Amino acid sequence: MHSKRPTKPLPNELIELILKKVPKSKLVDTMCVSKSWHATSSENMGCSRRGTSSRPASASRHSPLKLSPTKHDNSMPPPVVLRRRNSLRSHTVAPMAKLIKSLDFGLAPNPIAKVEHSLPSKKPILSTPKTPSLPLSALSLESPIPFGSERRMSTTVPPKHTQSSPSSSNSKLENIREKPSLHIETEIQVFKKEELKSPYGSWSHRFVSPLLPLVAQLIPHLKEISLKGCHVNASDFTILLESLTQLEKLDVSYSTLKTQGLSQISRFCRHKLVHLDISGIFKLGRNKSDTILDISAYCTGLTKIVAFDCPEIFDDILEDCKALSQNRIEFVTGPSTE
Amino acid sequence: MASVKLTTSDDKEYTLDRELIFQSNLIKNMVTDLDVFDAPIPLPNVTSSTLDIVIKYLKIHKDDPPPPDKPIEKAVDDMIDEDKELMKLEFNIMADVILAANYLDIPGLLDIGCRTVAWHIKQCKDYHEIREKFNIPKELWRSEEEIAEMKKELNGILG
Repeated sequence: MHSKRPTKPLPNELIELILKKVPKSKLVDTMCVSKSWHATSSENMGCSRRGTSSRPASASRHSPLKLSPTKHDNSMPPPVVLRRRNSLRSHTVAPMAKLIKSLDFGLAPNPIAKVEHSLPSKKPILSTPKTPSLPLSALSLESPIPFGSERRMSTTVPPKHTQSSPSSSNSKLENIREKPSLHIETEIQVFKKEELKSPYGSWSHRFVSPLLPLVAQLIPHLKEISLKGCHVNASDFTILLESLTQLEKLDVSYSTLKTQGLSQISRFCRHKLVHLDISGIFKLGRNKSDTILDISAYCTGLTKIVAFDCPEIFDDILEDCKALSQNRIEFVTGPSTE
Repeated sequence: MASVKLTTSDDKEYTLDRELIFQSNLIKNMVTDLDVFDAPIPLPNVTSSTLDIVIKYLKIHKDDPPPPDKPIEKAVDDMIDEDKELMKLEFNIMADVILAANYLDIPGLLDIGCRTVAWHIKQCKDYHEIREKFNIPKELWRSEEEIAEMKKELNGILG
């Protein structure tokens, strides 16, 4: 009646359930089975860390900085709990940190339809963190994060830092945690006054700079990092790039990086870097397009630059970049909102 | 005692005690919401041979206390002997049982099913065997050499 093998493959949700129960030592084998198994297994192992901007419904409203691990991650309890108890012992931290290949602070805006309303902002545009029209394709690899105004107060950082060095990072996390809470009420009032339904988080919630030296110290072998929409200092960014020698994919779209920080890319990421996302940071005269020429000339491994929403990268600059890189670099550009 | 009628996908009709079948949250919700006892409930995703195994499980666990809200993490082979006996199935039948448990929403059966499959995975020597068991075709995702390299790297990290 039954054939020897399952007639239809088990759905992914059941595979997830099963793989959760497989011992860690065996996950290496399950990672080799297929692409979807690889994704599920590596999630269980903690190879990829991704912050989410959404606040769980149960979260206390007084903890704006919500640390949440990737979903379905049973292996590591949420770091908020982890600080006090169940913390991983120091000898397990180092190997676990080695497994992390990609890090995403998860602060990208969500391309939702209602963002058009927020376009005519009375505030100086430099202080509004995002341009609303992030093209869908830029987010297509990941599930977009709902970043509605009601979630403005929650910010995340990847849990790794707390696990790795609880004492040092916690103090910093505490600092960050206090900042947004102080501003919540005033901000809400400001937003109400101006009748702005901005879907964006405010800058103070996006200040991840203190975490970057920690990342540099603990996971220097990182291959992908996304600083989408983060508030970053040039000095911390320099420390980060200096350490991440294996970096292949860098996403600095809609971040606060200025020329000083951007020039470090051509200084430190010369050989390994393959993919660079600079969407939305070349506008309003913030950055000079010279840096992009430098990057094209010096980053010899670079094959793709995503530059949506960069009205100040003109066609002739693109031509120059292509000439400098001997047509190695593929530019993905999109319409700007201006 | 009131009973519930079920029809499997191969048109076999079962009449079961409410107490027994109410371990399935699906049936429980259906019956309590609709309040219909006479009409048989069709189960298009479940064959009679699978339902037999499910009923065996339900009979074993008839008098169990309701499961705690938070599932307790247990070792892969930590289960009572009856369950172990019940789960001595061919792999393909086990997959059907897990699907049925998922469909009928029987957390206990789903749990022991998953744990048994995890145990099976643990017994496999390498990923070829796992592919064979789960009937996963070879993908163009990564070549054998790339997989070997990835494995070596991972093993190096984990020690």
